[in-house]
Amino acid sequence: LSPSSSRGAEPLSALDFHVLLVLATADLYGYAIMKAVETQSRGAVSPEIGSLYRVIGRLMNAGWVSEVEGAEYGAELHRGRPRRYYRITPLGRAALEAEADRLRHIVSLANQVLPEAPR
Amino acid sequence: LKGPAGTRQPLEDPPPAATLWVRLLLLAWPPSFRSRLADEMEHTFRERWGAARLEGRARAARLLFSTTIDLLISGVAERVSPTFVHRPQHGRASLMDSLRLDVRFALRSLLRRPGFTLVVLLTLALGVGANTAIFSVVNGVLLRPLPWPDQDRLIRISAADEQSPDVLGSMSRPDLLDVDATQAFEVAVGYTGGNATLTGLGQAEALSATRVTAGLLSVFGLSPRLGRDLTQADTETGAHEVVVLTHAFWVDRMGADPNVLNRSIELDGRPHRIVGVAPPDFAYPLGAQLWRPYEVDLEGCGRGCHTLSAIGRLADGVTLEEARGEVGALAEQLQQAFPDSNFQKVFQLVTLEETTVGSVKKGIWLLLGAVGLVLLIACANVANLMLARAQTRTGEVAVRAAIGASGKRLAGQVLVESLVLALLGGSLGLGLAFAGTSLLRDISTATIPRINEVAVDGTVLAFTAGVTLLVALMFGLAPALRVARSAPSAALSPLSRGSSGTRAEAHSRTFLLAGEVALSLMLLAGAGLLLKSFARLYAIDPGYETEGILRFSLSLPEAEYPDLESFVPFFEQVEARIAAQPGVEAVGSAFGPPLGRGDIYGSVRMEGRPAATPPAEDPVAGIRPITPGYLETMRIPVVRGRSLAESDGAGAPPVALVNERFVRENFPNEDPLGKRVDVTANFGYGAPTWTVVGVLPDIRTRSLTAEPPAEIYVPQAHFGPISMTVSVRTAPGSSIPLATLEDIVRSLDPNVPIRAVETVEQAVARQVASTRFFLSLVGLFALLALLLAATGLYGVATFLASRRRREVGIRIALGAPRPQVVGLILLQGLRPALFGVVLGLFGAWAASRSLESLLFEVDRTDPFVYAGVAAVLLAVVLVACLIPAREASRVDPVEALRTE
Repeated sequence: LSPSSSRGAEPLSALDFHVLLVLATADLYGYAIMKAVETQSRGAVSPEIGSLYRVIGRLMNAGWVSEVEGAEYGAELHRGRPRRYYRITPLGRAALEAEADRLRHIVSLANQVLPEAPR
Repeated sequence: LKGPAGTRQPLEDPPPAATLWVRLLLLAWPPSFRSRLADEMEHTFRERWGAARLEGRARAARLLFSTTIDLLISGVAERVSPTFVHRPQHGRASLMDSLRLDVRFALRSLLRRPGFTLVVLLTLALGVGANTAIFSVVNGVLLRPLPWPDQDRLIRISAADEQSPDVLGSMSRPDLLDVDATQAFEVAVGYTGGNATLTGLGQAEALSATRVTAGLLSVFGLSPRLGRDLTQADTETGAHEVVVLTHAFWVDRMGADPNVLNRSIELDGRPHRIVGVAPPDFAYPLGAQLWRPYEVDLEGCGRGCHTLSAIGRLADGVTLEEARGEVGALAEQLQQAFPDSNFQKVFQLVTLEETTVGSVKKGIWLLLGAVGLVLLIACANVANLMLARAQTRTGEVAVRAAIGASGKRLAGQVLVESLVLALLGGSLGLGLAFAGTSLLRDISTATIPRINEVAVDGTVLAFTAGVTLLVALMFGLAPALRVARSAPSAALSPLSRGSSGTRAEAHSRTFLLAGEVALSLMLLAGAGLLLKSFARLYAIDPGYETEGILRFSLSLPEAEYPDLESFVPFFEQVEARIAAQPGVEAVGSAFGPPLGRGDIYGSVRMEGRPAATPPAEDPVAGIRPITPGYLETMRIPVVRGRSLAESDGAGAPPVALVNERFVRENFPNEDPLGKRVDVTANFGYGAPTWTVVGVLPDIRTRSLTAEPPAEIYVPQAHFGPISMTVSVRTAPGSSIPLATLEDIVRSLDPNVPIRAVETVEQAVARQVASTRFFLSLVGLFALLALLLAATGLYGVATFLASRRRREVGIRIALGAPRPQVVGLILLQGLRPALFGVVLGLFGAWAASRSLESLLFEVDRTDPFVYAGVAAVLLAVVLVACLIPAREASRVDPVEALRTE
């Protein structure tokens, strides 16, 4: 799997995109990802646990996201166990950029066709 | 680095049942996924729960529900199209492998028929959910022991009449002392519910202060947290200004001060010395905040004066039966020694557990029975659907049999499919049960004791798991056996399409349909009987106005209002100021208003008749102190003589009114007017000889359903007490704000709180609450049953009609009139339904015995109810069968024949 070959060509789902985008700024653990995605999308995307972890599983499987043991964060314990953080990989960052390019392209197309919306 | 959820406030953990539930749901996910991420998912759930819980219980419940749905759907999706790449393992197919394949196959084939799957899942979820919710009530209220050590040694002691031994009444103090003195009881204590006004700790406040004849802690086998328990010595005259606090009161009001002993708090305007603090979580009777000694000198009567609730602890080695024997012998001795007061008087011993939940026990088991019927109907529905589906899958089975699948393997496949359906449906049902249980808790607080202890715990989860497996067997076994039997022959005729199945199938379908209809009818009949009882309860004429009356209790501090001269004017002023408010039609006060709190009984003695020997053993009557405006406020008419007037107050001769039962019991064949009566019980403000000036009707003062006792109404101005309930009747359409009432009372004395504010309508509603509760649940289940039976019938009728398309086509082509065709197909569904109705009528008649104790003035065999519900059911059945029948008759013969 590489960003340009198999997936980069296909559009990412909204949830995939948002998860990659919040991980692009910081390593986060599961619950933090949910809250960040919700905030970032202004509530438009608010994933449930099952859907979120399917996306995380898929992104890990594609090598776009990797797990980091909480030990890196001073062995932070939460309710008796280390938190597991997720970190975007260079491959994932490339995929995210490809997707962002695709979206920018679409927006510029739209701007050419549609009159500027009055503000 | 700072995550958006970086707040560090301590969050609440989900209850263990919820975590366990999520773990169970995760089993829907493939093991490969689970081994990597399940821990993380569970952990994330716990964090979300903590955050949601901060926003309230409802938010957390919603989270649990949405998580349940999402974990199930995503889990199934993950199994069907895994995100993790699978590395296929080589080797021979083991049992586990074939099971895994079966599960995957089942999931796929269920996803392929979303309509069928959805209907089955919803049906099962409703059935399992309702059963789990009701079972959680059974478990929490009836099965779990009370939170006290040796609870089976704790006995409620009541007095009763030999004629009606089941009507349990209060004990008199002399009788209780005699019971306590027997070998049967280690200790027996009496108490009366009571109130006290707390002053001197901020604003005046009404407290629930129980009066006890001795400490309750020893009865319950508990030791005080601090100091000592109350003793019998505390109750003796002049020694009773002491108090024992509940742990909660000590913590909340006294700041858990360890030096609280011997400090004083002011109750009813008098200082009370704190002598002890109870251990945590002990408050008996329920809601008590502190305990005071029972004042013996308050009691002006002897054995005839039944004022005490009593509880005792059996002596070591004494069984309940032995205790009953001993106390029975005592009752006989007392009957002989005191033939008047103890005439036919017996003592009843019932375990505390039985008295706590005994009144609702039958009702709750009944609900479990009702909801069990709903589950049976749900199973019958699903079985019918499965049978129909098995028939349409003959081709598929044939192909699989032809390529070498054994009958056993095919049957296993069907069973696994049933199991998967049952597990999914059961999981959804458990989600419903969580919601249902909290709903039940909310609507039944006033009806069901211990309802706050109801929760979905391990026992309930085990029950649900058991029910789910049972359900899977119930609807899966028949289709599985069918497949196993038919597999070999199916292989030989792979494309055979039966017209409407074999004779045996037709029989089992008829049986299932008839059963469904019969069960629904039983539930409907039960609901109908309860509904009629409810209507009867509401139709009772209590003898007084129930609408537009607001009432509240006032209890003045004794220290500041020591005598009639001080507190009677207070009530007069309160009434006068309220009467001056706009919209107020009448106002008056009473001690012990209808269906309200407060009750005093005393012996009565007619002047000119020889006194009973010993003197305290005269006939008994309820004493109702009132103010002059009270009868008008409650619209209680005077049958004979005159009513009370303002001029009957202080200084005037003491007059009284009696009810008709009083006249029947004490003045048979005599004119009661002008007769003079003495009453022994009093509040210590005066006990004059009353002259009867009027007769009132027998009104339902103590309960809506029970005949009232003999009663004598006396003016408060001559008798007291210091605590009265003020009733205010307003004109239709107007009301008086509570704040206005509070202002009026406060303007007269800021240290007097208003309490127990309610409308008479609310008091009436409380009386019918338990009937209403059981009615609404049985009614709900009956409707559910009707809905399930209707959809079941509709489904089968539609299926059968579609199977007979060709036949109908031929008939129409040969000239059969369409109405005749409609009738033909209609009969197919109606015949089993009619059979079911007959069966159901018998079943309902037999089962109605268990309903009898919940009915009021309705015969359990009431023919109108039975006919009514049968008619309703038949109408629903008719519609469910008519739709597919009409549909079938519209078939185009050419079209129908061509498809073959």
